[in-house]
Amino acid sequence: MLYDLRVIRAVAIKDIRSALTERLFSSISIIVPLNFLLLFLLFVLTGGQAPTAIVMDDSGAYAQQFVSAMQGAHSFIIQQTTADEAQRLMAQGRIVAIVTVPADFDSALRDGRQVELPVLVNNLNVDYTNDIRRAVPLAITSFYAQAFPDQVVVQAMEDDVHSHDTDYIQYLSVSIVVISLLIGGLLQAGVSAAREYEAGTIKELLLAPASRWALEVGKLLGALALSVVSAAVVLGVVVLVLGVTPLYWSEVLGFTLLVMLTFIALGLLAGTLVRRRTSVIPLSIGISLPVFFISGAFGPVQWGTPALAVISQLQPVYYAIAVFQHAFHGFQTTPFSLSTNALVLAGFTVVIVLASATALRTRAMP
Amino acid sequence: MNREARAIWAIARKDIRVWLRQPSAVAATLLPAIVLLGVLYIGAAAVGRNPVALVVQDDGPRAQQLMTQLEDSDAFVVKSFSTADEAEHALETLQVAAIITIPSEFDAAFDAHLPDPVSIRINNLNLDFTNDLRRSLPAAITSFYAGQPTNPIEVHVEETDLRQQDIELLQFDLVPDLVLLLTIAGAINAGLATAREWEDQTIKELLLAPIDRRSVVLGKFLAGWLTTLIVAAIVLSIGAISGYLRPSPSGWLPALVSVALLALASAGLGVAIGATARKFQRVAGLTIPLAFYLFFLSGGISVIAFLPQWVQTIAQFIPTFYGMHALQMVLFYDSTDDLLRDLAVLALTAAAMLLLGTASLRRRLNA
Repeated sequence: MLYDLRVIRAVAIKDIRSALTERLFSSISIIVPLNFLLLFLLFVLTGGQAPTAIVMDDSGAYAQQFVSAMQGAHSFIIQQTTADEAQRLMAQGRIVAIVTVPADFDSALRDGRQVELPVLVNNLNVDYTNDIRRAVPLAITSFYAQAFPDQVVVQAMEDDVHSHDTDYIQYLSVSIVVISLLIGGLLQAGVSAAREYEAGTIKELLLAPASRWALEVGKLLGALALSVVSAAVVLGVVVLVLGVTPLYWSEVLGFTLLVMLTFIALGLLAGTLVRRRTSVIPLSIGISLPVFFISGAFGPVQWGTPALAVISQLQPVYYAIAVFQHAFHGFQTTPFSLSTNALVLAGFTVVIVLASATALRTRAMP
Repeated sequence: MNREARAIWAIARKDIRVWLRQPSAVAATLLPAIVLLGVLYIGAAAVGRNPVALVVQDDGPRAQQLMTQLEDSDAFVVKSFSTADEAEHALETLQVAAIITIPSEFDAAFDAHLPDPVSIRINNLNLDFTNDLRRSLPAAITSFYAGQPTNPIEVHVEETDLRQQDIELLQFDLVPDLVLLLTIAGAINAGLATAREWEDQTIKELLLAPIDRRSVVLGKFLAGWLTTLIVAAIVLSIGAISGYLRPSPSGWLPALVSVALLALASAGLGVAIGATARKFQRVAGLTIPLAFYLFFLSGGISVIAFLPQWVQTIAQFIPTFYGMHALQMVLFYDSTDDLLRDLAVLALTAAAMLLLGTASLRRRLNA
């Protein structure tokens, strides 16, 4: 037992020292997870609201009320401009629609006449264009509901489950922490395992009078120690820079450790199977991105397609995102309880470590 | 063919053959763009259709009309429940994102011109889903009113489109994805081919060969450029055959020039990174994130106008922004808007990257 502990310690220290000799790669393995955080935040910044210019040829009360209805439609980022300025902004690609409130808007409505509302759309693609095509009539109905409440009587009355709205960046940044831990774990552990094969040192390790378990645990702990830095950096950015304060700090710390262990074990498995460091990097990124997207990073997967919901439950990132969303926001994002999610995650860790140890044994054979 | 030209061609041919024989290098080239395309496909399929529970407590004709509007809406996937309790259970177990309830006195209130609220209870986990739902119910109410025989709404939209045709989201996203592919292919292949000479220590043979060092530099550029063009040719051929990326006859030339310049610029960048890093994993670790940064910052994931002002400002300084713009205009809209500007920026970038790559490689070769 004591001998095994010494082996574990020696393997872990050896891996840490080996990694530190490659300073550029060590820096990259810290920077890459942080990169993912920043890149996905750029992804999130893509607003769902259409930048739109309103040209007011009428400044009457109804015209003003109509602009208010557009602002309340959750669909536009509005700026009031002149017709020339609007055309200039459109030519520069800074807006995607121009809505012109005609000069007779108020008088026509008072007289019960029809009003044609000119809307110029930069129909670059169907998705954004249809948003505008839906949102303008929506704003018109909302305007009528306010201006002519006896004519448009049907209105939406909202009631929310949670006491306050959570900004998309606040929500998604928590999911991004998980992908950063995934990338960090895969890179550190994968490279550490592959290095043994590339340098031929795997022979020495396997010929040593040490159990495969001790070797496996040693490599796991070595990669864990190295991954702590990138995990701390990513968590630091999310908490201190983005201002996403966890609801339950103890859960954040405990689940970070559990999730890191899972992903590091996955990295060891990948590195043992691939055996080349050059393959580990694209593989890590290649695996992480699609897994992240199907794991409920943007919201509960149950709200998507049923097939995707089933597939996502077969891998650990789904449960990792669930426990982190609970730790930070107190949200339930899977149909399972928090303890069930944590137990499944722990189960995945055990299975992956077993698979990794088995791979070490089988891949060592000629 | 003189000796230097033969040497350049030999170096390029050797690099291309090595690339083709290394599945990991081919994977590193293709995988990020393919994965991104898959991600965009998943995203496009999932855009804006949230599952909602619908409880209809009134069986009058107006209530049934609104129910039909909600069921036909492309914003919802409606699951009908007969009781409010069942719907509440579905909300709690995440089967649905919201509950819409049409109340029992809906028709009576509508006919009496009295306030007639339709309630929506939203699981407001994040604003993306929540705002979709906030928009969708009023949109369905708008459609409901449009279907009434006496529609009180007198304001009608008169739409004019700037472009001749609408482009599907996934098709639109193919161009940024192609630009990402060109950036990664050029940078990573030229980078790995350059770094390989140091990793395999074959740089000695190159330096001892009786050829001009400029030939080594040119051979490396040529290899990176041709590899990228091979990848681009495959993608463009598939795009043209499938109809997804098919320019008009007059659009082919600017499209091909844009692709060639993007490939040249990224190959130059790759040679510079390869000569500086001299290790495979450093090259892969640097180029892939760099390519993704260029992709995101040039508005690759979106229409640039939808991004914050500061990103729009940064995009003006990212060459791939001009590549995406040029390709989208000629491939989708048969337009030459700002084409000269775009091609000039790409040509200048290619020249700058070639100079940078030459300087980095020559410095290493002379060291």
